[in-house]
Amino acid sequence: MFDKIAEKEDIMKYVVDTHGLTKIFGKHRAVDCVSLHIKRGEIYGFIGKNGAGKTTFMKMVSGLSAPTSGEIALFGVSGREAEKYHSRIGNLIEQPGLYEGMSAKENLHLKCLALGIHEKGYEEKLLGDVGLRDAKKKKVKQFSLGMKQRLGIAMALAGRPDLLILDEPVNGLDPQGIAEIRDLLLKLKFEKNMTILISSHILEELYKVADTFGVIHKGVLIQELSKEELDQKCRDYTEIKTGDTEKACPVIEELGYHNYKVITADCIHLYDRVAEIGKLNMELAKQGCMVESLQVVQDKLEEYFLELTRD
Amino acid sequence: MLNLIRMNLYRMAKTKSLWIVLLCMAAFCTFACSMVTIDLEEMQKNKENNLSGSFAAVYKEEEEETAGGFGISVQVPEKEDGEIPTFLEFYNSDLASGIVLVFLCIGCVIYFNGEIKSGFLKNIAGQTRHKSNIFLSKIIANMVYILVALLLYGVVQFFSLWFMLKDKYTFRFGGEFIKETGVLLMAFFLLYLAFLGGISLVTTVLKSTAAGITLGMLSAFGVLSSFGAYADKLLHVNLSKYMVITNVHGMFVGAVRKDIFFAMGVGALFSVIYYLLGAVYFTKKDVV
Repeated sequence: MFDKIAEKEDIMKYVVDTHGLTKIFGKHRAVDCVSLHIKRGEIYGFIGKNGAGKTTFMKMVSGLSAPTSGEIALFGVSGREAEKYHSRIGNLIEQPGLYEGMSAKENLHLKCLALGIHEKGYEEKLLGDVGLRDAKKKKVKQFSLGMKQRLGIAMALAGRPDLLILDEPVNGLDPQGIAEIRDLLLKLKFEKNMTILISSHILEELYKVADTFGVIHKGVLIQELSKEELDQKCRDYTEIKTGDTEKACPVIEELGYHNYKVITADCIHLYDRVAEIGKLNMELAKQGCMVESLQVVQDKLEEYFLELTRD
Repeated sequence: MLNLIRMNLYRMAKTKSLWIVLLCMAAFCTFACSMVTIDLEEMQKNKENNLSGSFAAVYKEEEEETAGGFGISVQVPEKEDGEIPTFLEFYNSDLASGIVLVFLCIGCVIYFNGEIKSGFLKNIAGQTRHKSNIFLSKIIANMVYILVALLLYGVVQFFSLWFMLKDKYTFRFGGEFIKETGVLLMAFFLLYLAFLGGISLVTTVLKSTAAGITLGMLSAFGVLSSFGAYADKLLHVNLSKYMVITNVHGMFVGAVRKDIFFAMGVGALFSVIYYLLGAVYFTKKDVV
């Protein structure tokens, strides 16, 4: 019995839990057997190249597209029952879907009408949240790309969804706009306990908000890792180029560096005490190890993902 | 469902192009009425000079000349005795000619494709439990548009004729008029609904305004009726009788009730068929 309760609690902690989710267009497997888990209240960063399958996956989760095979559990419920929870998902997928001839407020009013929201001042509040309060009467055709993105986010937020799916939401935004959206997402997470699935090409920006990362490549989810795990993989290290690694390794051990890796016959990476690079240089010289170069390398997030998705 | 209908009606009211289409239709109606007055003057002259007996002869002559071609012609309704036709006959004649259908077709295609083209559908499709309701709500909004158009055309035609012919014209009202107008309007409403249902379906599936308008106009001009007639000859069947557009063109004041009810049946049946096809398409097809 306790096992069953534990299992149920485990299921309930995931807002989105997919098993072998697959979407095939003709002969092309756009999403291939993806099993992804998004915990309640977290921001999940979805990373992948163009055409990797991010948008298709997001469409399937938000109910815009039917999977070819596999299962999606939403809020702990799977099968036909899960479809009921699509109403709890707000989305902004690809470009914001807006009527250009209508104002921001009218566009938002349409969405509110469809959802049966008749609260006074609700639309103004949403527009204020995304920084469009002053542009509510302006026609969408006069909007910049960034303003359209903001309105798209406001549309996604209509109806106070429990899960927000945002596909490249900061596309076209200026640095100030990006920062505002970042703050908004964090506010939604901390104040409203909203779960957010977000994809972005600006990895550094994604890193600032996401708690968990999923990397998709050619339709396959190749890695799912927490921010801590990512930090481990992307931390700074000292790169030693030496003619004789066999001689250098015992010296390094003697100096108390145990977390290191011999990359090639003349290259060693040290992951501890990065700040003590000068001392390390001196000690290696003292022990007669010829050091060709010694530098602190920052393994950037971008390089890490490029490495992961290299063909 | 009610929320979706509200949303569609709100969008309809806010879509300028739909108002422009109605405005153009009203302008055309006024123009057609002014042409009618010229025809009526001609008819009166013929009557006075006792030339050809009646306008009907002139009309028939013209009709014979253009027989076999396609197109829409808004004509003064045929009267054997040279008498000025009633308002209902004028109104019915224009509705049966398919000219109102052309305007409605343009509006309907713009309206249906707007949601797909703008991508707005993505905002609501996921959160709507039964996607078929999206199509149904649009069909219902379209019903309102058809009603508005039919009433507007009637009102504009009434006032235009009254303004242009007030001293020569007698408007016959009364119980019989209302009853007959009601039956004919109902038949036209159902036939128009079916016709536009088909056009909406084509527009939704092909996601093309051009394809929808072209097909709609060609159908209203009678191209499909010709295919129907050709199929009738070839297969020795009576396919034309069951075609929506043939029934539209075949409606006239004083038609046998049986024929009017048959036309209503055709309209209702095709409306349901097109709705079901649209509902299946919306349910099964991914939103892109």
